[in-house]
Amino acid sequence: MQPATDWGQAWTIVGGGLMAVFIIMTLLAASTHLMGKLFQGVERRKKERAKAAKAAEAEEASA
Amino acid sequence: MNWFSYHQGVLKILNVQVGFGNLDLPHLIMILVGLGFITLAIKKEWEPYELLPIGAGMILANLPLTGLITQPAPGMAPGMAGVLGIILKYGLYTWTILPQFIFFGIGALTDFSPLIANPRAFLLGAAAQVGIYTSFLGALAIGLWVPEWGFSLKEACSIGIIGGADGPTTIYTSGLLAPDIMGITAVAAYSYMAMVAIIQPPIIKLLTTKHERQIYMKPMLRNVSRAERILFPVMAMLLIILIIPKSAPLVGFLLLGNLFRESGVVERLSQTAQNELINIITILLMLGIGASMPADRVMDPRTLLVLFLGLAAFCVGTASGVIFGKIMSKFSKEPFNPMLGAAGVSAVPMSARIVHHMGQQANKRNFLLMHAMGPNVAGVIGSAVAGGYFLGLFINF
Repeated sequence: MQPATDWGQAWTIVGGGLMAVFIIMTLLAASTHLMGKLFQGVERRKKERAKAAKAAEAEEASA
Repeated sequence: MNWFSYHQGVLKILNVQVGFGNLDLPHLIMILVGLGFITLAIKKEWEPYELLPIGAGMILANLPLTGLITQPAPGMAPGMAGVLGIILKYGLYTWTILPQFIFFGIGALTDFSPLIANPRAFLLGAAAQVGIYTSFLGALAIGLWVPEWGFSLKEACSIGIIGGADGPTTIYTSGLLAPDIMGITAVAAYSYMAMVAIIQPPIIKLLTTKHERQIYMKPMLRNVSRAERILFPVMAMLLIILIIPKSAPLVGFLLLGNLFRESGVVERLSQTAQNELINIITILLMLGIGASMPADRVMDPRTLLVLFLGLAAFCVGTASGVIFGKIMSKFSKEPFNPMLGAAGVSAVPMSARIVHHMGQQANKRNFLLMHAMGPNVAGVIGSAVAGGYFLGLFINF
């Protein structure tokens, strides 16, 4: 037979556990979202630069 | 020596040295259960990589007089410890290294791209962990009605974690918090993972309307660059472990394995982690789990309660994921199918497949697999975080 359960501690564990999981997963979602935005921005700028360089080359060739 | 004393002598030898003379009903029942697992693995292909060695381990552990599960102890004569006892002691109870290496292999096998492409899936992975805490409370509540069947806080944590539907996390957490029920919690976790196709669809159907199941989502997620795939495990590892350090043995190894995979520069190591290492560790771990269930530990009414509470945890986890999916669907700018929440339990990839299949049944144009893989792999991280949180409460490494 187990000793009587400390329900105060049990509810603290539940509250703390749910809070920990949701906080960590929210932080992960936010940081992954920001990381994605950052890398997508870098990719977009890279493409734009390459496009501009191509356009400049074409202009030079036509001139 | 007369005939009678000779006969008595033979009987004595038979009783002491022959297995048949020492086979009692509880052990026989456990051997039959082991045979049942092997049959399910072979005939139904239910988690065969787990249930087959677990069944074999159970049979070996319950055969009398083998000494296979005798654990090494100080002062023991050389050769007295059994091989299964050595696996149990060093792999699961004392050093607890086997589940971590399984996580390492899983990390090397997992592609986090669907999660990186759709970070909202993290929230579904969190919502599906609610089942863990519900069953934790349920396990404690049993003591109110039948005090002799009550569970301690540590045992309740080990039972609750079954709801994460993650075998290695369950084994690791139970092995450290409640070794006596580790075997049965592991069997429950793997059995319910194998029964995802039976357990989840009725819950999803009960909680969603036909219209919600039909919601169409564009099949393609954005391309995830290599740099993002490399940075993600490092970032996630630092963030999680700095908040819950006790999750390091699971989360750290999972994300380390993933870093090996995504780095692209340690191909041989990554391949080893994905194949040979995880296969060897699976054999040792699952035999150990089977061996942790001798009849005297399992033949207890509380075993049925563990199985029931584990199932409840899995069902509540699925339900809470779907309910959270419905909330997200209400607030999402783009169409969002709430069934994706059910994939937040970390039964990878079965839950994602079920959601995909149900999505196609409701709307033939739907292709939800990649969308569902996001919450599915988020669930692996979520359950490891929940396990780490429980360990942090009771264990000082």
